[in-house]
Order: sequence, then C-alpha cells, then structure tokens
Amino acid sequence: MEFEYRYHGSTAVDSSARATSMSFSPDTRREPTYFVGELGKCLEFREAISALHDVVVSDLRFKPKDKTEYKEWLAKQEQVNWQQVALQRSRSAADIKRMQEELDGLYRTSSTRMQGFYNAKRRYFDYLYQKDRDAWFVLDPVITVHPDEVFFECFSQDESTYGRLGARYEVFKQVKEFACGTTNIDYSAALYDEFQKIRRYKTTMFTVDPSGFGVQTTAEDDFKELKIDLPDSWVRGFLQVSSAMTLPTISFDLHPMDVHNLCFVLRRHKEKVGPRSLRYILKPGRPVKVVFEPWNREVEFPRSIFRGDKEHEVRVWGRRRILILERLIQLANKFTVHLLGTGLPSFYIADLGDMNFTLGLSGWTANDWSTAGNFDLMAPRAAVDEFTKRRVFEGLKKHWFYKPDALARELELDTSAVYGALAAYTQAGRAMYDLDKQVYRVRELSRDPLPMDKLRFANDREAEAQALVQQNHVTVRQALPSGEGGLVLRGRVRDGSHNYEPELALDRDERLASASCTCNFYQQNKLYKGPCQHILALRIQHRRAQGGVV
Amino acid sequence: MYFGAWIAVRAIRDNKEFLGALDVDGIVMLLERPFEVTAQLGFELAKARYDPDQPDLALVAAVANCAVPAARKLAHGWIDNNRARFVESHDLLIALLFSAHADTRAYARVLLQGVPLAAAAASALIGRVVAGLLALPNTPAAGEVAADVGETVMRAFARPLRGIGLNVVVDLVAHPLEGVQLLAANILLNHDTRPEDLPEQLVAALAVESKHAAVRSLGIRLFGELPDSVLVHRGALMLAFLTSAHVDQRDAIRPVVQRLAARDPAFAAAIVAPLIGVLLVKEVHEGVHSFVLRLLKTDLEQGLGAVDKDLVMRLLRAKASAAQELGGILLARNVDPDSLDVAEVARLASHEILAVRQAAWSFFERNVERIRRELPQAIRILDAKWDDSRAFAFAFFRERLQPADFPPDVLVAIADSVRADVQAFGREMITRCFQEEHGLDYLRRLSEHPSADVQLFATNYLERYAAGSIERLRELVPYFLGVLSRVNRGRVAKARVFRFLTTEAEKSPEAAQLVAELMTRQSLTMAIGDRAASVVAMVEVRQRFGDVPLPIEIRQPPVRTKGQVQRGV
Repeated sequence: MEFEYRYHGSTAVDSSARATSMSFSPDTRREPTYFVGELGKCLEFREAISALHDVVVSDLRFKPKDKTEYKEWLAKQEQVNWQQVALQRSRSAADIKRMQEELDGLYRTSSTRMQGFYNAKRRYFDYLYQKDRDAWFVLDPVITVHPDEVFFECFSQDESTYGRLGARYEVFKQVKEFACGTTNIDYSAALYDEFQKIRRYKTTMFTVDPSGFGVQTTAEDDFKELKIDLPDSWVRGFLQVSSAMTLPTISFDLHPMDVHNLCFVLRRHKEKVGPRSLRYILKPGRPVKVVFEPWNREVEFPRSIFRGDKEHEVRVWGRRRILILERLIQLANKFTVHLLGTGLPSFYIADLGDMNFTLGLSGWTANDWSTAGNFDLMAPRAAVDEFTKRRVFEGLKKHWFYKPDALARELELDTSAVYGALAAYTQAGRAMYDLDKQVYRVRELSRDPLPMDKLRFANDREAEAQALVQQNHVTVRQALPSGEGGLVLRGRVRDGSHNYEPELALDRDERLASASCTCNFYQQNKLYKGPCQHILALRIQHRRAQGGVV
Repeated sequence: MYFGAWIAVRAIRDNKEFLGALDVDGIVMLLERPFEVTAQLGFELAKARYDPDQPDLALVAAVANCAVPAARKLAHGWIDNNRARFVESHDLLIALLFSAHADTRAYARVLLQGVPLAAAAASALIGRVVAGLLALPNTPAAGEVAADVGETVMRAFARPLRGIGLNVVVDLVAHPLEGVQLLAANILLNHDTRPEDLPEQLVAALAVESKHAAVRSLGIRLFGELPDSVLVHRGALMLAFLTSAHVDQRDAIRPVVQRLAARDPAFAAAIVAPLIGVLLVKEVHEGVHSFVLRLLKTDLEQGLGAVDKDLVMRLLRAKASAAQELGGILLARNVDPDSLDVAEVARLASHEILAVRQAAWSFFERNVERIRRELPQAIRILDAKWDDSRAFAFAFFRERLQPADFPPDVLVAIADSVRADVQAFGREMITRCFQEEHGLDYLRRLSEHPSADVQLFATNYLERYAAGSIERLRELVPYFLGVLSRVNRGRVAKARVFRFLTTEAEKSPEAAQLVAELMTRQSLTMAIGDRAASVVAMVEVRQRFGDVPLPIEIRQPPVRTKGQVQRGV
C-alpha cells in the first residue's frame, strides 16, 4: 500500500543550555493541522515520548545469528584436525608439527595485523548504518490535534505493538494557536537523543509547524517528498489492534510498582522454551495474580484488587513488550490494564496526571500464520446501513470527540446502531476509541480511505474460512488434549460438494503447531503457504464453540 | 563470380582479334573491374596501347585506379614522365585524388605538392575537389578517402585556400565525414578572415556539434584564437565547453581559460560564479565536478577571493562532495572568522569532509577569547559525530580554558549529552571546576538527567546540598522516584538514596511524611534488598514519629523463656 507525504523541512529539536524547542513537521498534503504551545510537564512528556520511540523502533522478530565468522573459523579448524590425524600416522610428524606451529604463528600475526582493519571496517559499517538509519522506519507517527487533547499514535516495525501518547491542554503552559485534525509527522532516529535533553528548568516549546501550509509552489526544494510502500500486513495489524480497543474489556488497575515487579521478573529470567505466556488470574475481590510460564512463578499484587464480578484466567503472549513501560514507572500514578481474552490484544494505560500513555499489544509478537484463524477483529459488529453510518460519522466529526451514548441521543438513533457504526469506522481507520476517557475520536489514519476489502483478511483462505463458519458447514468432532499440554482438534468441513477432514494441533502457546487436511490445497502445498481454509475454519469454529470473540 | 571472370578472361585472351579491335572505352571498362585477372588483362592491353606522346588521359586514369598494384605503379611512372601535361587535366587529377587505393592518393599528394598550379587553375580544381568531397557517402572507406584528400588539399593549396569563400566552408562543415570536417576546420584556422569575424554558428558547429573529437578540439582551438577582448564576452560558450560531456572539449578549453584568467582578473571573477553554481547542482555528466573543482583550485585561484560567506555556507551544505571540499578550502581563506556564528562553526565540526572539520578546529584555536564569551554555543562541538572532532574538543576545553570560565549551566549542559564519553568528560569537568556555591544548582540540574550514570553521580551531592531542607527534598522527589524505580539496575545509587532518605526522615515531621509516602510506594517492590531498605526506613519513621500513616504494623515478637525455647514451644 503506497503512502505519499510532503513535509516542509524536517522535524527539528533544538536544545541549548537554557531552552529546548521541538518543531514537528506535518504532512502538507493533508488538511492544515498545527499546534504551538509551551510545555509545562516536561519530565512526563520526556519519558512518555521516549516510550513512544521505543514502540516505533521495537522489533522483536527473530533474527538469525550471523554465522559467517564462525563458519570460517570452523573451516580453518577442520584443516587442523586433518593435519593432526596425518600427524599421528606419518613419519614426518616432527616436520608437520613444526609447520603447524609456523602456520599458527602466521595466523596470529595476520590477525593482529588485520585487527586494525577489521575494527575500522566495522566502524565504517556502523557509520553507514547510522547514516541510513532512517530508512528503517515504517510509518511516521500520526499526530492528532483535538479541542481538548493532542495525541501521538504509532505502530512498531514488527507489526505487534501500538503506542499512543495523549496530552491534555493542561499539560501546556500556554497554547498559542492550533488547528484540529490529523496529520503524519516526519520522525527520525536522531530525535530520540534530543528528547533526552528536555528538563524542567529549560523552557520547552512544542510546535507542530504551521509554516508549511502557507508556502505555495515557490521554494520547492524545501519540501521533503516521501513515498512509502507499506506492507498490507502492517496496516492490518494497526487496524486490528485499534479496533480491538472498541470491544468490551476486562479491566483492572495496577500500582506502578506492580509493573515494576513484572519487568523485574522479565529482566531477571530469560525463557528458552515455551510456553511463554503471562497468565492473569483474576478473582473478584481478590488481589490480581500473575503466573509466569514456564517457571510457573507466581506474583501477587496485594494492593491491586480485581473489582470485576466474574472470574477470569487470561493468557497473553509477547510479554517482553511490557518492558517498554519501564520508563513510565517512576512518573505514573497508576496503570490500567484492559484484557480482551486469551490470545487477543491487551492494553496497558499509564496515567501520568494530565498525560496518558497507552501501550497496545497484539496477541502474539510474531504475526504469522500460526496465529491465524484465532479471531477476526475486523468482522462487522452490527448490520448498519450506509446512510446511518455516515450520519453517525458526521455527527462525531462535528464534535471531534464524543461519548457514543450521548451521540445516540443527539442523533436520535439506537445505541447499538451507533456502536456498530463507530466500530465500523474504527476498523476502517477513520476513528479511534479512547480507552482512557471512553470517548470515540475522529482520527483519519490516511488521507485517502483505506481499501478495506483488501485489508480485512490476510489472504483468500481466511475469507473463505469465515464464510464456511458463517454458513455452519463446520463441525468439531474431537477436541482432545495432546501429550505436551496442547490441544488436538479433528473435524469435518463441507466445502461445496466435498467433505474434508482437517486435523490440527495447537501447542501450549496456542499456536498452530501442525495441521493436515484431505483437501487439494493441503496436498499440494502442505503448510508452506499457510493453512488451508478448512483448517482455519475448524479453528474458528472451535473458538466460537468455546464462547470466544469471533 | 570470380571463377566466372577467370574463365571469361582465359577465353577472351585467346581471341586476339577481338582484343585488338577493342577501343579505349572497352579497355577502361576492363580496367575498372574489381577482379585482378580482368584488370590484368586490361593492364596488358593498356600497356600495349599506351602512347607516351599522345597519352589517353582516361586510360591513364583507369590504369592508375585499377586493381593491379603493378599497373598503378606503372601509371604513376607514366605521369611522372610528363607531369606538366598531365596536371593540366583536372579530370585526371580528381580521379587520382579520389582513388580508392591509398598508394595512388599518396602519389597524388606528392604530385600536387611538386607541381605549382596557376591561381585560376587552382581554384577551379579546389572547387571540383570540394564538390567531390561533398558527394562522398558516409562510409568508412569514403572516410579514408576524405582524410587523404583533405590532407592533400591543405598541403598543396594552402595559399589559395586562405581566401576561399565561407559558404564553401559551411557546406564542408555540414558533411558527416570526419575528414571533411577536419578540412573545414583547418581551412578556417588558416583563413585570412580574422577569427572574430567568423560567424559564431560556424565555430559552434565545429566545436560543439561535431561528433568527432579531433574536429571539436580544432574547433575549440579556433575559438581560442579569438582575441581576448572578444573571448571575455563569450563566457556562456566557454562555460558550455567547460561543462560539456566530452573530456576533449574540457581539456581543450582549459588552456584558453587559464590564459584569460591570468591576463584579466575581472574575467576570472566573472567565470567563477557560474562555475560554483555548477558545483551546487547535481552532476549532469560524469567527471564535470572533479574537473571544475580542479580548475577552480589551480587556475582560477585569484577569482575565488570574491566568494562571500553565504555562498561558502551553501557550498558546505551542498550534497556534492566536490562542493563541500571547495567550501572547506574557502572557509579557511575567504571567510572572516568574526562573521561566523560560533554555533555554525561548531556544527561544521560534524562535517564529512576533513578539510572542513580542520577549518572549524583552527577557528576555535584562533578565537579562544570569543569561545570563552560564547561558551554555551561553543560546547555544541562536543556533540560532533566524528571522533577526531570530539577528541580535539576535549583537549581544547581541558587545556585552553580555565576552570573559572565554565559556569555551572554550561557544565551541566555538557554532562547532559547523550554520548557516554561526553558525559564522562562533563562529569570530570564538573569535579574539576566545582565551586561550593553552585553545589545546589548542580544537584538540581543533574538530578533531572534520565541516564543512570548521571543519577549516580548526582548522589554525591545529596548529603551536602539537599540535607535538612524540606523544599529541596520536595523538588527532588521525581529524582528519588526515578532512582528507586529502576528495574534491576543502579544498586549503588539506590543504596545511597535509601540511606539519605532514612537519615532525612529523622529531621522533621514534614520530611518524615514525605519519606513515608515514598517508602509506601516503593515498598511494593519484589527486589528483596530494596524492600528491606524501605521497611527499615518505615520502621525508623514509625518509631520517631508515630502518627505518620504507614502500611506497616510493628509487632513485638513473643518473648519466650529459656525453658520454652528448649521445649520447642
């Protein structure tokens, strides 16, 4: 998916001994959106925007180790081994030994002499990496100015972490001028270093630069035009996490030191095998308890009592991402955790006074097919006609942010219709739900509407699987626990005129470990292209039968 | 075909009658055939028919152009015997000049150079030669012919050509063959007309538009022969040569520019500005930038004096490395140090080109007094991306400035840097330049730094400057929270802070309240060392000020007698 931006200059953060000024450069292709103000709560802003930076650069995908040097060393060693064998067998053992020693000496001299070169070469590559580092970012963060709040949103490179920093106007000492709207801002790695220099004793100006909108066609070279080709999976990941916020959640508050304790366990232990989940054990009226697998280490939060009315046990994965919250522990008043269910996204909101930071984590860190078919967050929630949807959206745009019940009253519509319409707009990336204040906000993720038909499903097989489940053609025959603590599902799917017998095994981390099917797609491709639609349909049906979100 | 000719020749040789009856045209026809056997037959017949007293010119021409080398040589001999007679025939001369065989053409050259021709005859011949040249096709064989003809004409008819009409030259220039264009160029070079009277199109056609390198360089030589007074006005054309895609053009115009620049400083200054403009934009043809840079550095040095500061800064910011290098050179020479902003110079220390960084360093060395006055701007050099700049900056600030020159906010700004080595340098400088009255200031500022090292460094100042005052304690609450909330790190800093807070809590009820709130929050930690320290602090507070709200409850352990202990109660 191609996105085009046109920035007037680059974002600049200028700091001296007495003052810091941050000037973010907005995309001039969009409606004019700008903001000029002097920051009052400097430290909170610094920590929060550093956490946002950690989200933008976070990439926890598996990176295979670079084994070229090891392989070279191994090749050299193999020579030595053969020579030792020959040494034992030949008569000129002394000769060989002498030559071996000479060779070793030469290798040593060579490596000492070349060491300077290798070091310089590595430093040059580091310099090149730093120079081109900005080419690594995927989507520039989105900033939205609303009449009550300014907020940044971003999504990580590995398509699994969402970050939102919201700052109410009370955070600013004086607000000079602003225009509401949403825009992309030019962001680069070097800005992180400048943010660390924000201090309470320096006056800090915060600007979303309005100057780019006045300039017309003159001085074209001052504009930075960017065309970015985003993978569809990235946009889908963003929209999935964003639309998960609109679903009903299980929520509870945590003390900042509770999050400290979570990070403490994660820092002190490193898991090598699965299962790797974090299990929240929630009982009404009791302190929240967390279990770290695979060590089964239990941590209780004595000052955080769960105030819900039902018992829950929720497993979440990708817990290393919680370490992004470390910087916020010192300044937070409390953390609110919103869970949707096992394997579904989870949200951690840090309350920093007039600022709040929302960390949204997808169900698993790796967004590959092993988690597919678990849920469809982009499914339409309620059947609402186009006209009503548009009325609701126009109503919301008038106010920029509104509670859905109040909007229903104002437009004289049924609340479920309003909820359904707003959820549809959230799934399309045109609105977002503010979990902290519990209002819907207008936020156009991109200038042009996104192609929703392409984004809802990762591939055709997921779409077909959903259709099969909707038409009730899927039966789960057996659901047995497997030897290693996972689950084996067997069932029958009627697709067209054929009946297929898919079978799948989930491991302890609830990921698809192995699967098979009698259909043609599986026979030809096995699992190399992902699971076939019957396997996915079986999984969806099983989840539906268990009462989870579909 | 050749075999067919051979058979035919063999057949016809026997027919002596027929051969005897063959007329000159027939023999000429035989001689013109490309097959040697046929030409040999014709040669024999011609040899037999040739009459030195009444030579048949067409026959001689045919023999001189036939395929048999011996025949051609014989024909040359025939002509030599009676040169005066033969040169009267322009047809023969044209045939010799335009012969397809190199030896005949060479002979024609010798002939024409040796025999003087009357002026009228010469111009008539020249006219026919030109017509012949213009009629040549654009083939390699014709190219050789044209080259030889051109050379011959230049050598033999140098005098008459000086006055030849320019429209002839224009026609010659328009021809695609290199030899023809070379002839035109040479004619112009030797022409009577003064170079400045030549139409500019003509010179441009030779110098710029021609596809042949030799022609272009001749054209440029022609251009260079213009008098200097005219050349200085032809700057645009010279610029086009200097930036052209062809290396030969650039090299050919360079001596002209050198000469002009040496004579006329105004010209040098005038041409420097557009050349610098060339460096500021993207290179259109390869090699242009390095050529222009070389030209500016060596030949146009004196013209560079007029380049002003804005242009130098633009050069330094440009993308092309040649422009940046020139900027570096000019920075040292042209720019008055006083006009530069210290902040700008400090930014230049991060430049890619070494010459620019060195210029920045020498600026610092020369203007110590100014650096001292504008220290907050000057310390930006410590943020340079290059190790050598930073090393220079460390040495400079250590040695050239006194401890008294550094106010505390500048030192703190140094320690605020994100680089570890600069932070360490900042801490070293703070320790060195420390003055009692600024202690609290240091503590306040350093306590806001997010890095763990600086927070640890700030703990050194806690006891002296924050003790005993509740306002200062309140100011430092975010700092205490920051140190104590670090996950699994900063053990020493945490220990110091806990110790400090525990002692402070004793001093006043408000302090005890503050410490109690902090400890209430921190006591939730899972780290047993920190939890123990916080419990100790809370117990101290409870024992000293019993009414402060705390989450602890002190229980007296049961007192057991010796007998109870022995019995295991």
